Order: sequence, then structure tokens, then C-alpha cells
Amino acid sequence: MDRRQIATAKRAFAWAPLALVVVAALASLAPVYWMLMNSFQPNTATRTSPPAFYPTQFTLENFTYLFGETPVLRWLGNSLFVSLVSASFVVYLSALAAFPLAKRRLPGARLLFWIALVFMVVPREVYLVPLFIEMRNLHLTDNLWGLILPAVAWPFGVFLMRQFISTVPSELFEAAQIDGASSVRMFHQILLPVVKPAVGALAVFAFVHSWNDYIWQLIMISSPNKRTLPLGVATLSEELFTNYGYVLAAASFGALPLLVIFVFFQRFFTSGLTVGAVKG
Amino acid sequence: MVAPIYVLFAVFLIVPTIAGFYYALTDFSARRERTFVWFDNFGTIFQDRTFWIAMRNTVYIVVAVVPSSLVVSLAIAAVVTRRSATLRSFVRGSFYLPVTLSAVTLSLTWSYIFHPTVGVANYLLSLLGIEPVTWLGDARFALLSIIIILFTTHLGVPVVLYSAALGGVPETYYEAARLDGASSLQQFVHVSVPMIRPTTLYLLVTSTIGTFQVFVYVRLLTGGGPGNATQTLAYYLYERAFVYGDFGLASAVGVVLFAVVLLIAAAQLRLTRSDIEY
Repeated sequence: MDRRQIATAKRAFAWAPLALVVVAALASLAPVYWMLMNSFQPNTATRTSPPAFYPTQFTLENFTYLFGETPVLRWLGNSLFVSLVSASFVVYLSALAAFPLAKRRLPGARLLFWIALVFMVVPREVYLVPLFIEMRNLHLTDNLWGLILPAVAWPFGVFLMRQFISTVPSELFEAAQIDGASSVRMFHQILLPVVKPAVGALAVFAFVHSWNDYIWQLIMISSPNKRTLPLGVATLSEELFTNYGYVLAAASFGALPLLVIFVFFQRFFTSGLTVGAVKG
Repeated sequence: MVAPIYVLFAVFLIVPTIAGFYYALTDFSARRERTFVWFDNFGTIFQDRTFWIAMRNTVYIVVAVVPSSLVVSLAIAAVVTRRSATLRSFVRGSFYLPVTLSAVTLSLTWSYIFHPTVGVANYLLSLLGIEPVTWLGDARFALLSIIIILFTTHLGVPVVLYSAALGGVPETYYEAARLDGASSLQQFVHVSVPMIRPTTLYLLVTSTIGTFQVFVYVRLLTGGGPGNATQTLAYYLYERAFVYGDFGLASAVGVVLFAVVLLIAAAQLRLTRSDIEY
């Protein structure tokens, strides 16, 4: 090999890892592409061998079936209701508790924070059965509020908000303190406006968390018209499993709200995750 | 101000957890009244072959998914760390997307990918000259299929966190290493890896706990089968409680799962902490 060939080989070698990572990133997106692409294909096209890697035909038939013959819109409404309500409560109540934990002198603050930390790692399998029995005694099974209330009791919210509020300079509150403002007023007028990025991150996390809590939805909900979207889509797929056009359309529709959130709020995932981990 | 959320914690987390330990000591089913039986439930599950299969499969999954996903994520983060912001955000987003999408959606997609006759997985194998495989329906491959899916959904969080951690290592440390004549690989091993150890520790513990609870893919793709090939602890618990209605026994499984997770997390903390003094 002459010198030029060696230089070329070296350059190729330096680029190889990056090329590999980009290929892996595309592979990571491939299942989602596969799902979306085939949901617009007629059932016959989803069953060709070898499979076509790009759309050969285009049809809305799968979605017409989905909206016409199944209650997916109702399920979407249920899921949106559950996730929006629980995310709002998570954000507000977690921030409300995290403020005194981080900034005010509060007896037992360490213990309270420690409780939140412990329950972040306790696997839910330990309390799954008793919580179900409790909800049955409260007559909240097969009820959307039975999904919302446990989703609000999510210690990660307190943890994330406390970590974030700790980084807010305490001087901000001094003037208000001298004016004799109450903690609750300081919280609403001074703190909430400055912690907007954390509020956004937590809202997104809480929304996705309750949306994807499949095991709890599965246990709690029995009436078809009270199903959440993931639950409905899963049961639908058991009935439609022979028609992959329908199944993938249902999967795509089930993914849509989260895809939208992902596309618009990606930065929140990054910031929220990082605050949660690095400072923990 | 702390009261509202902590009342909810008490009602929906703390009380049920305590009750879980109590229920584990009772004979309690959908049909019978609750009676205290001490450790009978633990005796029953420890003698159940299916329980041990579930335990073994869960451990296999954790061992196969957690270390490999962390190493691969670290490599990915290291490769893109000094590239353009656009590239970094594309790579982070690509790996994070499967984390956000519901496991239900991904299950349906993977059931199509793994379909024995029309699935793309077998098509790709055929290009390599390998005979088609009944991925989810063959006891030899079903657990592997679940592991593959979990691996692809476990890269997102570590890629994001490792990118952030590597970006936070002060440039002066690398300069000092270069002055000492360290190659880029040596810089990575002796500067980056020790500096991001807290992130590794966090990921190791959270990822182990999360993987121990694998449920959705098992429930939607294999139902624990074929045979008990993909039976896991969380699925076993679900079946005991909500298919067979044996709440006491299921609570005992929950307590065992908790104890195992706790032991592993404590061991990981201890192992990784022992040489962290810098």
C-alpha cells in the first residue's frame, strides 16, 4: 500500500464508528417506520414475501375500518382524560410539596424526601395486589378515577421537582420573606414562574407514565367503553390478529399521541432525565 | 403544602406496601376468606417448578439486557459526543423514541416483525441463508426474542444520560491526559469512564429494577409460553393474582421479587462504590 492508500484507510477507519452509530440509530427507528408504513398498506401487501421496504400501494382502508367499526376514538378520549388529569395533579401537587422540602425549614423534610426516594425503587409488584383490593373496596375498579388517583401518587414527581427547586437561588424569596408573604403565596407568585422548564419536563413524564401503565389498566378496567387506548388496542389486536393491516393501523393510532409529544417535547425528556439522574 | 401528595402516597403506596407484606402471610383468594397462615405461601411457591422457571428467565433477561445495553449506549454516546448538535440530537432521539412509545404499540409491531412466514426478521435471516425461525412460538427462541425487543427499548435512557455525563467532563482533564501522551482510547478508559461512574451506577440500579418487572411484552407476545419458556416473575405474579385469583400467593411472589431486587441493588451499590474514591 502506498501512503495515499494508508491515509484513505485511516480516514475510513476513523469514520467507521460514526457510520455504525448512524446505522444503529436508523435500525432503532425501523420498527416504528415499519409499523406506520404498513398501516397504510392493504392487508395483502403486508403479507407479501419478500416484504417491500417502501410503500408499494396506499390505502386508508385500515383506518376507515378502525374509526368505523371500533371505539378507538372513545378509548383515545379515555386515555387523554386519565393522562391529562393525572399529569396536572402530579405537577401541581409535587411542586407544592417540593418547595418546602427544598427551600423552607420544615421539620422532617429529610424523612419525607427519603420516603419519596424509597418508593421510587420499591417495585410495584409488592403492592399491586393490595392496591387492587383497596380500589375494589373503594368501588373504584372499572372507573377512570381508579387509574388517575394511583398515578398521581408518583414519588418521582416530588423527587424531580425538589432536585430542580434546590438549584433556584434562595435570594429570590428573601424580599418576599421580609414582606411577610406566606409560603403558599411565594410558591404561586415567585417559584412557579421560575420552574417552568421542570414543570414541562415533569408534565411530559407524568403523561407518558400514566398513558403506558398497561398492567394497572389491564387489572382495573373491565368494561369495553372504559378501556384506555393501549388497553383497547391490545384487546383489538387479539381479535384482529389475522389482518396485519388492521393491527398495525391500531398500533399506529395508539402510538400517535405519544409520537406527537415526542416530536414536540423531546428537549423535556432530555432535561428531565438529566436532572433526575445526575443530581440523584 | 406537603400534605396533599403525601396523603396520596400514604393511601396508594405506603399502606398497600405494608398490606402486601401482610397478605403474603395469609391464605387469601377471590373465593375464600382471609386467614393467617404464616409462611405457607412461600413454601408453596418455593416448591412450584414454574416459579423457579420464572425466576431463572427473569435473571437471564436482566443479565442479557442490562450490561449489554449500558455498554452499547456508552459506546454510542462516546462516538457522538464531539459531533455536531444536530447529529447528537438525531442519535439521542432515535434511540429514545422506542422508550416513549407504549410497549403495547411496540408489541404489536414486533409480533409482525417476528411473524414466522411474513415477518421481516425471517426475511433478513433468509438473506444470510438461515432457515426461518418460529421466533415467539418456539421454546428455544421465545426468550431470545423478548431479550432482543427489550435490548432495543433499553438504549434510549442510557444514551441520553451518558451523552449528558460525557458532555459534563471538563475539557482540561482530557488536555492533561493528552500532555501525558494518552491516546484517545486511553483518555476514554482513564478519564471518561471514571468520571461518569455515578451515571453508570444510577443506570445499573434503575435498569435492573425496571428489567426485573418485564411484563407487557410477555403478556402480549407469548403469554409466558410456549410451555413456560418466557415465564417471568411479574407475569407469574399477574397470573396467580388475576387469572387464578390467589391474592395471598401473589403477594408472596411480590415480596420475593422485592427482596431479590433489593439484594441485587445493594450488591451493585457496594461493588461499584468500593473503588470510587478519587
